[in-house]
Amino acid sequence: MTSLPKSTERKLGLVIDLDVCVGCHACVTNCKAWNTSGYGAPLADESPYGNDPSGVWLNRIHSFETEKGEMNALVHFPKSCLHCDDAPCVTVCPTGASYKRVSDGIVLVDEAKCMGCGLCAWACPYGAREMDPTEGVMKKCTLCVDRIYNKNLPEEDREPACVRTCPTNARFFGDLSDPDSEVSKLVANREAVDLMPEQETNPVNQYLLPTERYGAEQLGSPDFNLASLATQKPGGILSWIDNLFNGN
Amino acid sequence: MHPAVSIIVFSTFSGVGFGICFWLGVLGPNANAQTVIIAGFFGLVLAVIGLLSSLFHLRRPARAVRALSQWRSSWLSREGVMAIVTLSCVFLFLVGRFFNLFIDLVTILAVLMSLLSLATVYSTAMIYTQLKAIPAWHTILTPLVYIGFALLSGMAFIFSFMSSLLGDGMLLVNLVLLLGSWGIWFLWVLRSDRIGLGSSNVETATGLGKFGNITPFEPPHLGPNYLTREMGYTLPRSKSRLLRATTLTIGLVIPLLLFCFIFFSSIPWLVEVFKFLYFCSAFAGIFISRWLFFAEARHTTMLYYRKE
Ligand code: SF4
Ligand code: SF4
Ligand code: SF4
Repeated sequence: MTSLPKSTERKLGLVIDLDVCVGCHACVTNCKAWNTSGYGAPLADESPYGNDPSGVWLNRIHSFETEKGEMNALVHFPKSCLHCDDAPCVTVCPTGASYKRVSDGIVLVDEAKCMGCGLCAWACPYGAREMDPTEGVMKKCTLCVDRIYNKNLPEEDREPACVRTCPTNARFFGDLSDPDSEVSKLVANREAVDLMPEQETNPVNQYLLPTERYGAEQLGSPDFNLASLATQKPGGILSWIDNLFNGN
Repeated sequence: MHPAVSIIVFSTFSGVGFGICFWLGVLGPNANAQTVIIAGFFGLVLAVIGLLSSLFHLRRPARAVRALSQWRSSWLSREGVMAIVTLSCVFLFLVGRFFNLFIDLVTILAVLMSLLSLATVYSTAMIYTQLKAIPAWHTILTPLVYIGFALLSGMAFIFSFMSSLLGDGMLLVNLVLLLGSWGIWFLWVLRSDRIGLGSSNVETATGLGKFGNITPFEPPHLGPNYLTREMGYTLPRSKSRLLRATTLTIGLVIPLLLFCFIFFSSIPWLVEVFKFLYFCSAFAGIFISRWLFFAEARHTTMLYYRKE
């Protein structure tokens, strides 16, 4: 049924910390690896190598330059489905393939029902749905529904592949409807935003904004220069190693 | 948005088909049975061509019948259901006229057929209108344009090929439809130019607005992907201007000129030729305008990919 539930019992989702993401694409790779052999049909790679590579990904890392004063900073920006509370992708679906689960709020596609019309991808303002070119069905982030409840996995692996793999801990998974969850606390303590609030999708996933060190204030101050860091002499064991390699 | 031919054929052909059915409902209960049946047959065929064309857009057309299931929430589903109900109603109406059966019922069917045709075209338009992520489409003007063009092309078809169905006053109706529907189209275009991506921009898309101007730096992958192919279609401004001028010329100016020729010409076969050209020109104009409807539409997703 592609009507949206009035409310969901839980709101499972991701919190993504833009302050620490270094854009390494580890989550992208692990997402692809897990999902190509997990829930539903494999994620196609129409053309994995060569000059014009192309394939389906459920998670992609964009990057943006910020401009404040004279200083620029680069923000790495992972983007996957936000499991919106008012998901427009669900209500447009004519076949009943797209749905939002009442029990945990995850937005999923039933690949056995999808007729590959692509309307849901048009309805998503964020570009979080991609058509599988070989299967002809719509693909999207499943919030790793086949991991988070999977009793065959060790306890610590029962979280999304992208979260599990992130080397900088930029991704968190949890129940955003529970004020005591780790993710809710992060959202409460840091500056968290909805993407495109004007689209009124009420995304569950939250983005934690970079902290002020991205601003001009610190980097632009006169007593802060990168050259001084480079010429600093190491001390202790580091100086010993340094000498070893430099031979003086 | 990528202007897929299957979708453009879908809405223009089903538009003219249901347009014909609408007018038959208005004109047909008492008009000459043979002409009504031929016109109705063409209406059905054109609408079916349009609907079949939409199947070519599906990656899994064998599952299309599932699309009738979600009419409670989905406009695409509603469109499918409405189209089937309308086509059945038209069919019954034509059978009734052909065999001269259930005369009283035919009048009711005629009214029903007109209303259902309008509702179907409205549903078609709502498939696009409902998409907030494409602000140019998200306006009541979109269904008005679709309905206007369906009524215009349906009327133009009857005028060109079955004008015996029409009384004298219908010349005026034609003129009003021609000016009215292109007028609404013009308003739609003005609005779409002004609205752009609405209140969405790269700052709201990333939530990074407080850090000043934000510019996309690198795309996630080097090559294009489904999203950029589907939503990243761009039409250069100069080309868009040219095509808009073309669509207006073919859709409005030439039909108006042909109108004058038809009105003042006294050579019967020439009048027939002009009438034929009238429909072709009006329909071609609508077709190009529908191509533009897609090609010019911008989607918020592209905010993540490039400077919009
Ligand atoms: S991010 Fe897009 S695909 Fe995911 S729930 Fe929201 S609208 Fe749907
Ligand atoms: S592509 Fe599949 S999931 Fe998306 S709207 Fe069409 S049928 Fe529904
Ligand atoms: S939750 Fe799973 S499917 Fe979604 S982006 Fe992360 S790894 Fe991919």
